[in-house]
Amino acid sequence: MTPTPETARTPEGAEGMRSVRGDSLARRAWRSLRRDRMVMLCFAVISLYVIVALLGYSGLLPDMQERVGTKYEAPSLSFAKLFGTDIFGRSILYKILAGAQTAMTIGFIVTGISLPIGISLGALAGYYGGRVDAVVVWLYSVISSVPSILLIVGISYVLEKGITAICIALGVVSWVGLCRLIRGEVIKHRSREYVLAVRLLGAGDATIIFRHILPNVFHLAIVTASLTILSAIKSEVILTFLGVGIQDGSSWGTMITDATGELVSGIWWPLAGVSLAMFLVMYALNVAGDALRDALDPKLID
Amino acid sequence: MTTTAHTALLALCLSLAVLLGSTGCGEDEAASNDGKKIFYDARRSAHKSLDPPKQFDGASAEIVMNVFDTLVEYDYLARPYRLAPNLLESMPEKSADGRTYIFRLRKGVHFHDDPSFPGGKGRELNADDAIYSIKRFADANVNLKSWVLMAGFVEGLDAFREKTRELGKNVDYDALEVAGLRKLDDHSFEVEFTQENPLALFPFAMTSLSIVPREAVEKYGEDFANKPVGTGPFQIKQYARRGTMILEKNPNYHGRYPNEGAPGDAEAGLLEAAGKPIPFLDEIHMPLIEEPQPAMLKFRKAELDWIGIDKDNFPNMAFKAEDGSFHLKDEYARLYNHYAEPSLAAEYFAFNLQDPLFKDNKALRQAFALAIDTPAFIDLLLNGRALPLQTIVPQPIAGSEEDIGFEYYRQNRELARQKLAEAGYPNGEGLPEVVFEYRAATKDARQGFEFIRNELAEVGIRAKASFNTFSAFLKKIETGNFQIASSGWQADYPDAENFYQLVYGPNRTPGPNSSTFANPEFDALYEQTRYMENGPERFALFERMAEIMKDEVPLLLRYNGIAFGIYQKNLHNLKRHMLVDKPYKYIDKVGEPVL
Repeated sequence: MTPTPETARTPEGAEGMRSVRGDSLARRAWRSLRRDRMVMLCFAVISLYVIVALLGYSGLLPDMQERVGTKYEAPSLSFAKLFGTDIFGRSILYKILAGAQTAMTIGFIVTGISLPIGISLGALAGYYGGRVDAVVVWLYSVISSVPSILLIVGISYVLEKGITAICIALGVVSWVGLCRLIRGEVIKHRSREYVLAVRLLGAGDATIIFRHILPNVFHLAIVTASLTILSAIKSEVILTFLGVGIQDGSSWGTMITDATGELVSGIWWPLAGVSLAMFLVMYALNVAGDALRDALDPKLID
Repeated sequence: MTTTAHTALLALCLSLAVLLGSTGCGEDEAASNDGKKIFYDARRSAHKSLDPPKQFDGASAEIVMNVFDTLVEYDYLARPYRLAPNLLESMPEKSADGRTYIFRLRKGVHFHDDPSFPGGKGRELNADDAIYSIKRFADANVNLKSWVLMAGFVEGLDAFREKTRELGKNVDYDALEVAGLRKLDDHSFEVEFTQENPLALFPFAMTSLSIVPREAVEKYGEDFANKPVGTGPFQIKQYARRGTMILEKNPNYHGRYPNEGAPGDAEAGLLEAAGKPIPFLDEIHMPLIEEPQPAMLKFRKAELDWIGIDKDNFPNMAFKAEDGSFHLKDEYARLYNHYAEPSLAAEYFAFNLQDPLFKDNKALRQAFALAIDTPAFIDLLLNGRALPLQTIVPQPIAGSEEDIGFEYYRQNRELARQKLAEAGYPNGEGLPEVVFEYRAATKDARQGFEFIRNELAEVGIRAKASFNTFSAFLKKIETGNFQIASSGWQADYPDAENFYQLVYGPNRTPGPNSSTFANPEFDALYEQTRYMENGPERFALFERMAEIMKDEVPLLLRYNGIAFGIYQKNLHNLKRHMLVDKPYKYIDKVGEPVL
């Protein structure tokens, strides 16, 4: 019974939508989102993680390598030891924050790589059809037919392990889903009256695709983006857990690897801390993704 | 030539294996065993080959040493480690020239019964089998891994190897004589070595040089690796690379339990079986269990008889006393017996002396050595289960610090900073970030590096690490493409020479001297001590060699590990031998385990 907010689907929500007909899609969506406290809370959580990442890049996060106590101190009320310490007496909290920075970086960069690829290839394939379509479909079929985790492992070996490799590897494989969606949607739109009308008015292909069709399918990209961030973070943690990801220890995956052994000796706080941190951001992204889909999908609104 | 090969396995493979559910579950403990003595011992990884000269990894050797016999073997109880005859009546006799040894085979030793012999009945072992096996060991098409340990030892054998390389596969060994291998009669032959060499007999104890019957090798061809036929104490009952491998007793085995032991063995009950025919066990069941935790759970249920304690379980079950001895906690001491035995392996960091940073900068290398607190590393990350190396030679081997009374660097940050300044980098200014190469991408490697990184940062040295697969690591070392390598060396035979050769000039990369250290005085001393018998004279020279290594720091010496294992109380005759990993033939199991 996850309290997934489905505002837009409720009669009240739908009523509200009708009354503001004429507003832009974005404004209608924002209205609907703002009404749900849970969704706003989730957006707040996500912003918090983003702020942590930004603080990390401006050098304002505490140094995770600093020894704040002795080996394996249980959680206590001092800030640094809120989640206890690790084998070297480093603060678990600081490590979680450093991990959050890595996770958010990877989430956003991967999305930044995969979104443009997915949208442009999808739009081109859908609009032109024929050979262009065949090439794009072939490309993503090939990529999606290779088990993605193996592909990612392979890429990260070629590029030397580390954050760059993970970003590129995940970016290269994660555009497939979006590309498919956009392609399908564009195929539907290209024969619609409004497109034919613009074409009769003499608009070029580029104008038609980017000025007229894309805005109508862009909600798909936004929804996919929130889910791509989520899956990129998850993949990074898994890859690092398997030893092919982040190498300098600033990852939640590393902390989970360490915890596998520590748990046997009754040291639960590193795993508890990192699980909590992961749960929060994953949950927030999931809820936000759902809410965005509900709010942005024109079908659900009408 | 075995850079310690412990688990260069990808974590990925392990996890996939777990996902596929292929970790040796579905065992048959429940099956009735009709009063048979069955010994359960888990394998940690799958073997590569059971054809003796084709294997050189621990997992394969565990099985090969129990299915085949070598001409000589390590005495099970004697310490320090020494050789004893196995398929021979006595140790080979040295002739007057000091270079020729006569090997006299034990009579009445039979191979396992197998369809490759007439009537399926195992034939008696003879001198032709021994010569055939030695030639096959030297065959360049068969042995790609362990030949180097015998290279240059036997008259004419190196030339034979070159010939086999030219001729390609399936060489007719009878057509190629080896000058140094001469059959005297059906049960004796002589081997002529190229020079008087006290190390010459060690290769004859390697599992790779086990004696194999020609009929079976020719009948099975490549498949001999899966259908091994030897003279060993056990034969394969159920072959499984990944499931449970089952060995059963060879009822005609020739061996007997040793009559003499080391001091204390009689009190420990290790001599109760003295002189009795072996093996005592009827079957050995070896399930493959790659992860330590499930293996430990099985051991706790007495579904395994013997296990090494992993790092994570150690603090729960055992502790290190003030005096450095290891004990089980009371609740476990009641249930199990334990042993703690120093390994024959050395762990060290190798500096690449071709790297512009470390080349000709002794003070910088000394600064590294002074910055790191190895005893603290051992306590924090190895449960105290290691001894800091004082010389490159691990403690159980003659010529170690025990014999020469030598002391290596201790952590001294003040001095380390001075050395760093002397090296031209006061407080680390101007010193670029140095890169450590690790040979595994495991949690332990990473945590180990995090410790080192912090120690170096304290004196102003910045370091980062690259965690490689084992093969990628070896490639970097062999091509000299590294700055500092976290390396290890596992003894091929228990002699100090095997460790000092790691920095002998002519052994430089691609040989085992990966730091490419070359020091004329050291090299001369090495050559002088190489074939000397152990004794005060040799040890005095070792001391000078250790001094040179300490001053020049081609290798930053770290530690040699201590193997800590536990076994059920109903096991008898188990004494951990670091060169005989699985001495199943001596072990007995009487009554029930304590539960």
